[in-house]
Amino acid sequence: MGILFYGIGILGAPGPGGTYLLGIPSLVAVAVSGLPARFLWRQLRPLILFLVIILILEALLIPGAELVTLGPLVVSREGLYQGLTAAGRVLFLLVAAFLLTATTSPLDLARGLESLLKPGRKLKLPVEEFSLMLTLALRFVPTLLEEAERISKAQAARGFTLEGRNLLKKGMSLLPLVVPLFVSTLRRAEDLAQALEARGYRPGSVRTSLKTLEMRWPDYIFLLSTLLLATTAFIWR
Amino acid sequence: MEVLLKGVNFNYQLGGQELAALKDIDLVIHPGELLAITGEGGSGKSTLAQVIAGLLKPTGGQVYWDGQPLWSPKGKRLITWQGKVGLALQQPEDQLFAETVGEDVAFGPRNLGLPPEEVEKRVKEALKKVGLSEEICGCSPFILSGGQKRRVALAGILALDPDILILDEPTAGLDPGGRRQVIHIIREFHGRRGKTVILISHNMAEVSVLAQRIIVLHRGRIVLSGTPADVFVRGGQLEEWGLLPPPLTRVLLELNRKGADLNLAAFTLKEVEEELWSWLSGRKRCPHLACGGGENSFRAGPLPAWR
Repeated sequence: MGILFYGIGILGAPGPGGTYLLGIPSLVAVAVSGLPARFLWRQLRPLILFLVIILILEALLIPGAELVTLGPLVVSREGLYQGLTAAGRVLFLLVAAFLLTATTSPLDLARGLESLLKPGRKLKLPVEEFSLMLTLALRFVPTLLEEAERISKAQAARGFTLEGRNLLKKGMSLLPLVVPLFVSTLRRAEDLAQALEARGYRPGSVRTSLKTLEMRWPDYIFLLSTLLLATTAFIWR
Repeated sequence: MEVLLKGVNFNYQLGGQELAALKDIDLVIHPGELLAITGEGGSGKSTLAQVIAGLLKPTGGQVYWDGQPLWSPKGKRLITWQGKVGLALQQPEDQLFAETVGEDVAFGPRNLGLPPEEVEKRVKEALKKVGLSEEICGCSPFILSGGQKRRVALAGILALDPDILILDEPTAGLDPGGRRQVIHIIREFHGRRGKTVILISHNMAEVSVLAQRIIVLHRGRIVLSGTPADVFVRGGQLEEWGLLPPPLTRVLLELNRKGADLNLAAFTLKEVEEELWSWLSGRKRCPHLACGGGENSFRAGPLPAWR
């Protein structure tokens, strides 16, 4: 929830000054979280090129007072200003999102989402089912990746390569990979359904969880401060 | 075809950490040999199989196929795929994908670029080798039983006519009948000239009846290599490496623990029987075994499928 407010705040922040000012708390949070800086760097490294491209495009394409002229290319003051803002927004959003996923397990996230959606139950929305679905989907991502690698190895031993001149052929050449993956996924789903039932899962019933999420005072402070940041950003604008 | 591994290391990348799966492996696999690679779960058996087959690039050392290095220093594969090494991973039935059995078995030979008649011939031969009739060709592979699926998958690999057949736990999860058939397929393949089999298994009973040479892996290292007799002599030590010696060796070990003096190098039914008889006739009467019925009890039927 906090990250949502933070995101709104960042996007609403006026100009580069405001954006980078708002970025500071996220960096503080990273420092407090105790995650190694190298880890963060490795996650962000591939995105730097993207950020630089945003900056350059904005700087070149937005017309305004000339700052530097390189032949036909004109870097405008407004463009630079806009570019810095956009790149900063994306950067800090990414940092914040990265922080969330690095410190919170997908299971906790799904559970949090479930409690957020709780009001939806009054509207007869299948909230629990939705959150279970989400949890299971997250749970099986690594399993599926592993499975895909295993099958592609098995097919590679029979001479399977991703080749083909046109798109159709390329698609067809994926079949030896995709079909077994589907088969095993369906089988796995069936097994899982039975395992769930065997352990007493009934759809629609109220479930308790091992870890219950509780709002404590740091959580309220965090929520409040992010909300405050977002509103000030909007008002200041 | 000869395979040579020199100083091979392999590390898996796991969450930014390196996990050593193979450490400093030196190994020659001679043409025509039936080699078994054993070791407890996580000892690196499957990784080693994939390195031999050229599916995994070792992180250190080099693999040679017939004296030719397989990997360039930059990590490119130097020898293109020619179906020379057939690899059946664990649960090979997971690789089935085509609409019909015939199509699936034909996948490999087609990738070899063979003409259609030759592909068809290969498919028929391969299905015959695994003991399936040609009628099955038109069936969907997904309606078959577990044992049949596995045999279809093996046929898909045999259809490549590889020089080396690598099988990773080929009998795991099969019923006794299925096991017998797979063992028969291995024997039949190995019986042909110059064909090498590498069997990966922790089932020592199976290994003891098939292998000419056994390699024991423990935590990514080769800790023991030799003939079955060489390996089973170390009886008790196998248990330290997380392996269960074959049932007959366990009988001998148990008797030795009770004070007998039996030679553990005996591992076939016949050898063990002889060993027991010579031991029994050397002593007057053994106090622990209520003898008399000895002859019958040691002439049991086929080996139970110990796991």
